[in-house]
Amino acid sequence: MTQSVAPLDLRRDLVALLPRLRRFALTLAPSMEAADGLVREACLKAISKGRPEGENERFLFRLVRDQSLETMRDKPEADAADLKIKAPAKGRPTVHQAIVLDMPQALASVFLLVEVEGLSHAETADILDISTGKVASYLCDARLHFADPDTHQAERRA
Amino acid sequence: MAASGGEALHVRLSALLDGQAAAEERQDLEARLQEDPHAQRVHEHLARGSSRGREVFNDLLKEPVPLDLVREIKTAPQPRKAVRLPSERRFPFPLKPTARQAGTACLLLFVLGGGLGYMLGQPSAATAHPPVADTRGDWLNDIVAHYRVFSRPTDRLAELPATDSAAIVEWLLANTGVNFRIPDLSGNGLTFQGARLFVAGGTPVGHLVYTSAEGEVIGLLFRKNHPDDDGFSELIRDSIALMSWKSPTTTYIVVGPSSAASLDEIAAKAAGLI
Repeated sequence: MTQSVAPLDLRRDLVALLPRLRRFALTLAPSMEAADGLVREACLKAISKGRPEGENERFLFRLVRDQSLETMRDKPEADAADLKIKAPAKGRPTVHQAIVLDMPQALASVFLLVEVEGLSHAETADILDISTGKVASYLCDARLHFADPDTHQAERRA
Repeated sequence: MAASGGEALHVRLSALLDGQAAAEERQDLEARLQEDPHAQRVHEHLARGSSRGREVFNDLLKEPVPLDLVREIKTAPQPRKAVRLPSERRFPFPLKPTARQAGTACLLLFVLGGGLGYMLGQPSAATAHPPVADTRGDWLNDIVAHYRVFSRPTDRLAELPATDSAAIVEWLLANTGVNFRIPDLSGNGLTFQGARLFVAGGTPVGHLVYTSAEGEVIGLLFRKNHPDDDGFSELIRDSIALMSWKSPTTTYIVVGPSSAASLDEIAAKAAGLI
């Protein structure tokens, strides 16, 4: 009789990945509350559909990204050019949350996936559905953004 | 200086930083960095940005995750997978009689029908038979009631503890007539706690008791087949789920809380081991 993976595994994996998923969602959302909403919906979808064979956390990043697009589609007032959903945040963001929230969304997402998560340009392009050329360009801009003294001043003010 | 749009040199040096530049491009840029002070400054500036950005994102990981989010994901219901449980073997019987077979069958039916009609036509000398108790479904009610009662005090789950496995097998075999092995379900996160014996629908039922890490009590039950057994494979009564399968002589049931997402997998595993 064939044995399948214990079904609790995916939920346990998801719980272990929550900090990283929340961090990625924050690059796509206007607030931490909205980011948590994206993560919640993405995780519930992952649980109901199951993990595709051979997939790792990249498929979860893609689910979070898809969820952010879906949320944006449900809000017609959102500006299509700016992928962040303009909605007021309930709580005051922490210092580091504020730095990420102030960045243009594509820059923060690309920087996180390549520089922090260690994904290749191609993998990042696949998750964010953009070209590898844009990944390289956004990554450069994100590095310049973080190197900018104004970013540090904003952090100190926060 | 932020978000400049990425001049060609900036973008190329940025790609060099994360090792995405092609070998030829890398050699070219490294040579340029040796000679060009402007390129060196840009490279250092980008490296500083990388370092600072990593710090920001790494610090984000230290922030606490809301408990309600963790709880919601931990307890999210999983879709039940279709698990094929063993069922009684059915022999294929193609219904393609020859003319001779069909004729014989017709004659036999005629004789039987005639005989039956003659018997029915005779005045009945027999008095009314005492009603036979219909035990169909009763034993499932008994199992549900038993599970509900015994699974509450978790310190008295079993009559015989797991350490007496030889005694358990001997005891339950003698009382139920079912030959079995105690399945090791540790791969499914279950710990064997011991065994119980009770009567359901007038028949002794062997009961192997397991617990999960989450404190769920899962029972693996068995009894000799009855001709009036339901052919159910999955049933939920109140908040208790039952999954059954049969061998030619025995009916097995896995019982547990309906919230136990992996009950079907446990049943499939137990079916292969018991």
